[in-house]
Amino acid sequence: MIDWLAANAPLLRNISVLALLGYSVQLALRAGVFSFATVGFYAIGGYVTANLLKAGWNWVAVMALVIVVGFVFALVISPVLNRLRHLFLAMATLAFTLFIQSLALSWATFTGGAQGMFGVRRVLPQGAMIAIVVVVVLIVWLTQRGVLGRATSALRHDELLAASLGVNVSRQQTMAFAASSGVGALAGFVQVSTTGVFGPDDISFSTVVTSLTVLVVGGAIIWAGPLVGAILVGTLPLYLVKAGNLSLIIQAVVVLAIVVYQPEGLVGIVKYLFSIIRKPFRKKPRETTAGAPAS
Amino acid sequence: MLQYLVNGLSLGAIYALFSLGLSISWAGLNILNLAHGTVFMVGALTAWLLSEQLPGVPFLLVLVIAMVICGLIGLAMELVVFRQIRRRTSDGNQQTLTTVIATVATSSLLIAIAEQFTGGQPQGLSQDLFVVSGYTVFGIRITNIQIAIIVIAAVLSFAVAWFIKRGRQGQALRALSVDRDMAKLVGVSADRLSALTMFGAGAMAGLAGVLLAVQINAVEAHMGEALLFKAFAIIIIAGVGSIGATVAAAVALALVETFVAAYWVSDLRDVVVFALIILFLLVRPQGISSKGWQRA
Amino acid sequence: MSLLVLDDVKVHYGGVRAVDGVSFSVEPGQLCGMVGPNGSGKTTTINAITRTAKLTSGRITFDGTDIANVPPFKLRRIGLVRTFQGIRLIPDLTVRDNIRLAAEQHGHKRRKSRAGAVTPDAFSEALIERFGLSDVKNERPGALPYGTQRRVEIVRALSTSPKLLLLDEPVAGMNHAERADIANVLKELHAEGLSMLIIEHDLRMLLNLSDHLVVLNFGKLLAEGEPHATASLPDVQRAYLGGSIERD
Repeated sequence: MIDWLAANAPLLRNISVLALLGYSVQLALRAGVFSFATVGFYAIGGYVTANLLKAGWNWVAVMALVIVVGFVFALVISPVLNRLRHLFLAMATLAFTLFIQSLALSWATFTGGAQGMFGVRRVLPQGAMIAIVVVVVLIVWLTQRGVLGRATSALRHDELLAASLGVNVSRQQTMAFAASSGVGALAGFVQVSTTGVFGPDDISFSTVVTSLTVLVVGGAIIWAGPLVGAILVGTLPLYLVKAGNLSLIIQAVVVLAIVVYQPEGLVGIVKYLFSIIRKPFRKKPRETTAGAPAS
Repeated sequence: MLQYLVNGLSLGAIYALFSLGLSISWAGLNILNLAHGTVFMVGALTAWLLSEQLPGVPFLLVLVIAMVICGLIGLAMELVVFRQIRRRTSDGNQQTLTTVIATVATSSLLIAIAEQFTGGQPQGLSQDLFVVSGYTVFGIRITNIQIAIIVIAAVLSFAVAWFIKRGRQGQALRALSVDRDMAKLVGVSADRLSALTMFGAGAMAGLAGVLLAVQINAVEAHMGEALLFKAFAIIIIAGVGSIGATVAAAVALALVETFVAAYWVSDLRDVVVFALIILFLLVRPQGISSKGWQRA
Repeated sequence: MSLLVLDDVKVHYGGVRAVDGVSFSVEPGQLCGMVGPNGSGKTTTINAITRTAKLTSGRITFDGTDIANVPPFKLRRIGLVRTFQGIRLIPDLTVRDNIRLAAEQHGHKRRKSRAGAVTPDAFSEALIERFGLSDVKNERPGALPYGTQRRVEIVRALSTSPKLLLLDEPVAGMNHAERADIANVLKELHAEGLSMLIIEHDLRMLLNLSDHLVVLNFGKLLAEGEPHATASLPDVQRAYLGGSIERD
């Protein structure tokens, strides 16, 4: 086990970062906040980590600070975002990410400009990295159930209705956005503290594409979605190597097909198959419930 | 001073050509097409490929071919992607969201294909395609491509504005933007109109792509992304779907950028653009044209 | 004291005067019906009461509180809850979870800490049982018949323990049996003393149910009073029979 972990360190690191990016998008999305800001926060987390680790900070302190920075930054910009809905929100948050990318190129004293940051101490132990991912998955799983989970479902489908039933829409969405940003920044921390490098290539538009890919391949709403998606997106290129130059095109076509034809992602397919298998054994077949009960 | 005005104007003309398609497909079809920048890049890529493969090909032909190819990409997106999503989901929210994600996926597909041609490197455009020559009028240098860009953008903007306002299809599109189901009831062919809109938006993006490629003399697979950021700012300032305001905002933004770069710090251009985005979102989220046919 | 008071309420959108100076009130325990032709401002009035439409002028007080001072999501806390014209159930959640969602939103912590108090879960279960939804409580709403979905919506609204229930066309699009079914539920609730304000197209149904009728036309209050008397007023007859009435 230990040997396997050590031998596959780059793969695991890749999957961890992808999973965190996917969860960051999901945390906002499932509360009805369609945010493209994840990569922007990923960038902020990455550059802050690089600078602080270079300044000799302890990684635990850096991690804590990066999450706080993500939260606070999100709370600062959320008053602007709270006024926006749907496509406007998507556009404004993508503008934020594009702006951060542009800033990363021009603010060279902090970001290293076009070359990026390199030679950062690779301090994060593998065990800690896995623990971070596990904790995030647990948090997402727990908050998808119970009172919070039901309120979140309502927010995603119908904000007006949610408000009329007493859900504090703007507060819950702000918190979802802050959580999403915190996890996005955390992904940047993990990337930098395990690879030692971070630059404009890490935060380009293709990272936006990747984070969404992780989400839609696995399943956008289901808690296990981003994890499954990250494992697939992380390992698939290893098997597509044979396809050479075409691998990127194949990947893009597969993702597009999933988005259009299977919006619930792979976890959705599995759930569907499971429901087919289980149906004959259900206690109450649908037929008996079809008639409206008279009062 | 006047020199910057001319430079800003031609940049603004490119912005306008690019933003109009994005804005109209949003207003009419409720699609935020994040692949719009990639379609723009395909236009530039087509010009580069044609000039490499067929030296001496007439520029006008290149323009037309690029526009048709990009129009067809737009059409294909509507037929293969957007229409399928519309059929599969009735929940409006879900539909909007899936469509945006699908445009991102389409964009990554087009970029992957483009990189097969460019090898992931920026490519220079052959000088023979369009011989750029400059004139000096009252001490201002203006090139023939700048003149072409400004004239084409002006003519097309008026054509689009007329089409939306007076044309039969344009009026139908406005009906569609208000209520898709209702428009169908009164006899608007939603499917045909969506196809037409996506074709037109694609063709205009492709045109802008060729023109910019000639002006900056370079083609690169990611060249549309920076433009997307500018187009967002323009749409936020102008409001969705308003033609006149979009053109005005495009020119204004380009002028601001040009002057910031000239008189202040070049690197601050995007900071200023982002500040404008935030400012408008805070003060006037519906854009400067409050009336009109757009939806939030 | 009246439970709900509308005082010269106006809601204008640009040049459109959706609601133009409407005043009326709903008394505790009353079942107030609101009728009017399409576009007469009925739904906008309910939207104004629940703060989804912005007041141009006027004042709405509920239970002595000016609702302008209450954020929309807190209206339910002061006992004001509504249903919408179209069905708005959360498709991902089972019938039971749709109802729990509403029951648990406010004060579930307080309820839990009080010894012997009813938890939101138990409260929703009781409602589910009482309104005959036990058989379908684990189903997703999408698969259920239209009438059952409407019933779930009403039960969900009830699970917030409202003082005033606002129903926007609760029987629209239903067949005769389903209508009768919902009418029975409303009668039962009325008998228990729940105050209701019901928008309905079907005048006949309201005549038999309500004890006060409000008639709107062109955003203005045309008449109000005892249902049968009000409905037979010449103005009301004209508004209804004068051709502007449409059935959907």
